Amino acid sequence: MSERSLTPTETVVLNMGPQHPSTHGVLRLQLTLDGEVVTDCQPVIGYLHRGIEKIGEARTYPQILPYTDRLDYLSSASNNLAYLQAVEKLMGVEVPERAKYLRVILLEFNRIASHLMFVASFANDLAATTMFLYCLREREPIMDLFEMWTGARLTQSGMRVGGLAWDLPDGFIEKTRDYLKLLPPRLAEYDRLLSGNRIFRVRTEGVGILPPEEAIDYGCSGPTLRGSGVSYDVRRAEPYEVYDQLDFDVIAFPACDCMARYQVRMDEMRQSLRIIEQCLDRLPDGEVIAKVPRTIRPPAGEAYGRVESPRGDFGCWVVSDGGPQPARVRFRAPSFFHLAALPRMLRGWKIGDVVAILGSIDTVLGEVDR
Amino acid sequence: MLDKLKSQLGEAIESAEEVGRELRLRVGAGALIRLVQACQENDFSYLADITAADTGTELRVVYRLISFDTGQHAVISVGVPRSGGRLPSLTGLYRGADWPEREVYDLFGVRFDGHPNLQRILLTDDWEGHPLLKSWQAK
Amino acid sequence: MSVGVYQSLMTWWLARGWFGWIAEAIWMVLMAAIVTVFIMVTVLVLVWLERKISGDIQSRVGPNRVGGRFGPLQTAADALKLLMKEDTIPEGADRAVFILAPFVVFVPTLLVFMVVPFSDKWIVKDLNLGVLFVVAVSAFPTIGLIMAGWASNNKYAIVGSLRAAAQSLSYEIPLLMAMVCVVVAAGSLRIGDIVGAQQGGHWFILRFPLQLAFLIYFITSMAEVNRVPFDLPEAESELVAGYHVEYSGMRFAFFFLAEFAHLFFVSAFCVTLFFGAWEGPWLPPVVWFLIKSYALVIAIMWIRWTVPRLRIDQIMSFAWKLLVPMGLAAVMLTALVRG
Repeated sequence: MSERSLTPTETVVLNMGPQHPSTHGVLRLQLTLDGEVVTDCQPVIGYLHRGIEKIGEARTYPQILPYTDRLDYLSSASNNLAYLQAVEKLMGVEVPERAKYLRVILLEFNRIASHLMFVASFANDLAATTMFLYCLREREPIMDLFEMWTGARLTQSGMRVGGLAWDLPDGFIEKTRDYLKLLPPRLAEYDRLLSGNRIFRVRTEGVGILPPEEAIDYGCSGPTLRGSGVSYDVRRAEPYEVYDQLDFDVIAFPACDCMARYQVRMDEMRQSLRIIEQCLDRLPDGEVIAKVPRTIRPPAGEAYGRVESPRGDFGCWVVSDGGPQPARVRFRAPSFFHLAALPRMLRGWKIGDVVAILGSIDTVLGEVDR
Repeated sequence: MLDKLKSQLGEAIESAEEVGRELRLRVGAGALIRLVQACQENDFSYLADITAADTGTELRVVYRLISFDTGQHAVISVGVPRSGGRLPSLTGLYRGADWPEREVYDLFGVRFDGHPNLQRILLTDDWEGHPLLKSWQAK
Repeated sequence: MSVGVYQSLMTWWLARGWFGWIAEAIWMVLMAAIVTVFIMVTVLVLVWLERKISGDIQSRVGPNRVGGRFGPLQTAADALKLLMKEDTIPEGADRAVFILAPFVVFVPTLLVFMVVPFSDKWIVKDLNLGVLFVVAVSAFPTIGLIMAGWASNNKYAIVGSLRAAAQSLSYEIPLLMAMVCVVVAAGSLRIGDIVGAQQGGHWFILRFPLQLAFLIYFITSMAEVNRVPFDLPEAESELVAGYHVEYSGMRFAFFFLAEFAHLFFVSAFCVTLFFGAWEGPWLPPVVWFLIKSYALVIAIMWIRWTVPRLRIDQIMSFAWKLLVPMGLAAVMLTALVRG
């Protein structure tokens, strides 16, 4: 059969977004379509650009902290920590043991909440709407725990330079242990409902391939990289807080498709539960914050804080000129680099796959645009 | 590692020091590509970030390369003038250099020669000025 | 309709010397009105049911305010809201086609209820070619979908309507085959005969090999009604409402109501073909009919809220590579066993 048909056809440019139920924020994808097949994709970002890096140059170090919450807003603690790590390195502050363990608990709960949100929206994009509600139901207890501890459900800012703002409230540990028992059977249920479902598998297996060399070349990290078989995790490569003393597995799947990236996150949730349990068991007594001067004036210099956020390698570069306000604050957002790799992953797939592939890299526009 | 790079590039490296896991190197614009290639050959396969800082006297463009094997960060700084600065693009060496270079162009005004699509990325296409310069004030 | 009533009314009318065709016309209008009212009420109930069932499956409550604790009047409130909305027609749209499309979708959906046997005496018109009529008229709404997508001057809408066309075409064939199995087993296209062949508890679903036909019919009917996992033409998360993205207010309501009316019809027809229509012990036949139809509707809704959606090429390959051969096998088997 000749490829040249008698009817001349053209490619069509379709705009997905910036208002679209499935672009997870204000993202615009200019898709060039040949029928249902995507031949090219140009992501257009900047709709959520708030100039946080510029604002940072006019704020004191503690004042910048709440802004970091709003970068990757589904996992505020990672952003907080990356920033605070840089500041603490500059000031040479040593964080007390108890604070380190508590920080890890906060981080891992953020990871679980973020991954639950991922499963929820990923399933919803593929029309398994019920999973959306189940995952959010599982996420509610975590939000309640955050609220108990820091007063805020999502943008916690529970950490400070040198440790944490508040110690654990009464009842927190009991509720956490209850949750640690609640989640594993629910995750098993999701496996039956979603991961094992033929239709889900057919939509995600083999879809959106990102070979490992290209993933590294694009600067991908986190589950996007580990879903291509590269077992790199900042918590293992550059351990921070008490991760070097904790027992957990780095999850990687070699398939390079959407299913692999989804499975990485599902298993990471289980690992996070393990980590939280260990932290609770080993939690030492003591201070939750180090002695830090009233005004934070780091000596001149620069430092880089690096954290494994649920999305990947989140970094914060702080340059100090000795004053109370930084000379430069830079946030290295993993989703920024993942979106750059999106056109590579989309080419040759169909419109239906766009949603699956975009969902599987789990971008948050807050950190992409800053 | 530091000595290896020093021996490969010699005079081109203006300053070098090792701080923790960071190899902080400073080169001129002409030696940038050579240094980055040398790093790539030494297993710095991951381009973590390309950004810039306005020091008041110049724009310091900073490249951060990470080696998965040794865990070291090669932090390469290049100085360019605050307006009209030009640097060679790294898009030929790292696919991931595309977007961060666009961002540096967008927010600082540094042009990257050889970049396939040097356009504003975060701000609107008709924006005037480069906001992260210290001289730029919000109205 | 109730034949006795009709005969006696006609006799009385003609005895007065008035033209017979006027009586016929009035009778038909009356029947149409009754059927339409029934469908409207059913749709109201179905939308409420869908929301309650989905709420239940998703561990939430569903409507619980309008009209009492169970929110039965919620749909009526929503319909009222839709009526009061601004009627927008996009600027570059093909006005005539845009306005016509909802009717092309809605009217056949109503029309096809003519041959549904609500009870042993209640069927608007027991056409000799009942099944053929259903097949022919059921194909029309697809044209309406394509019209809607095309006339909207919106790329999303066009993609949606093209998908609808592809999907509908592909699934017509196995649908026909499933119905042919029943026709072969009953020996007639007339609905009355099909129901008659199942009298006395010998429902077709219980007779091998019509279970296969039932399975095929059930799956393809979900595809014909555009329900998940086949709801690509309106895939919310991909196409933001697909072919009816540009419709608002009452026009949108037409599409929405048509979808639910079609859903009920498909279940009712399935019951007619496979479950003996209105047959059942000690309750009035019409009640049994409704019970069985609603049971199937609930099953379809259950599936909708459980499984994800297929991609268009997967839907097509499922139809052509699996269902069509299955349909052929079903027809051959039925012809051998029951023919």
